[in-house]
Amino acid sequence: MAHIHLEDGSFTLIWVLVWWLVALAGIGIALWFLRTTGRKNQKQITIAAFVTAAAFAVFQINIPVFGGVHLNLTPLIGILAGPVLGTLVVLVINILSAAIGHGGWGLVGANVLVNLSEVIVAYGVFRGTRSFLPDLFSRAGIATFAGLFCGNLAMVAIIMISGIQGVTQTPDQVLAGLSLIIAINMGIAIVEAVLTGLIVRSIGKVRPDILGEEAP
Amino acid sequence: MKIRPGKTGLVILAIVIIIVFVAAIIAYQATGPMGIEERFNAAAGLRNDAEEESGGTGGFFIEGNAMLYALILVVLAAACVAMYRQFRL
Repeated sequence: MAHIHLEDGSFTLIWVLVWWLVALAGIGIALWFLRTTGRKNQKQITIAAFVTAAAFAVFQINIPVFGGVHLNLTPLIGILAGPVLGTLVVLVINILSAAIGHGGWGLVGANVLVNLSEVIVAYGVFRGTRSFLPDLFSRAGIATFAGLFCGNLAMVAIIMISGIQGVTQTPDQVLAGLSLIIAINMGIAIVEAVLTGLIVRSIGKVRPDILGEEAP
Repeated sequence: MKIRPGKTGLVILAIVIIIVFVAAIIAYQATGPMGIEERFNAAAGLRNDAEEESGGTGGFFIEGNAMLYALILVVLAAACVAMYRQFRL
């Protein structure tokens, strides 16, 4: 899914630092929120730990569809852990993934921002459509599509703004190529949307309080 | 045709899935079978063996350098310990 799969050195050091700083600003805001509001919510922290483990594991599995892409589970992180804890979850996943060679260290900041956009949008869509989309499966699926689409847009925006060192194509050609990647990534999003929908529906049946829903 | 209440979400989801699937098939036919990295490199106009080249100025290249990977990991771990002690989350 949306993840910048370029080697270290693809972005100049300046842009690596810029995206790291923006990501750190987001992480700082999340930490500030946690300290002021959600610090005592142990249940949410436990859920965040579980989704971190699950998402990290899923990150490493290549789905052999459309040539091979991995899932992110970032929309599920947003739905279950919320955007504040979700910020820390995507940071941990990206750092651990970089530590085992999945993506570059220099791109962790940019990839945290990409994944963060997925978490925030999925959370917002899932919560915001509750009144007119009561079905958990479809609501989670739609939230997943929305989140992953925004993540792909963020990915392309970051690449286009930063520029890639050593490219042989014009920006228009790069944009056209990245647009194809968005389309293919969204194809894999079908798998992720169905998976997220099933997980959320299952959780909703046994523990609706985790989703902030009322018991049926 | 009237959609039953409660089924609106499923209808929207089905429509999105069909549109996305068609777009993905068209894009896949345009690019052909490639892995993630190859597809990115092709989109950006980079060669797949680009990591062996020195590409551009101002970048840094730690791909495949185990010592640098370990060093960064140690620095990050130390930063986490320092922040944990400082902020007591």
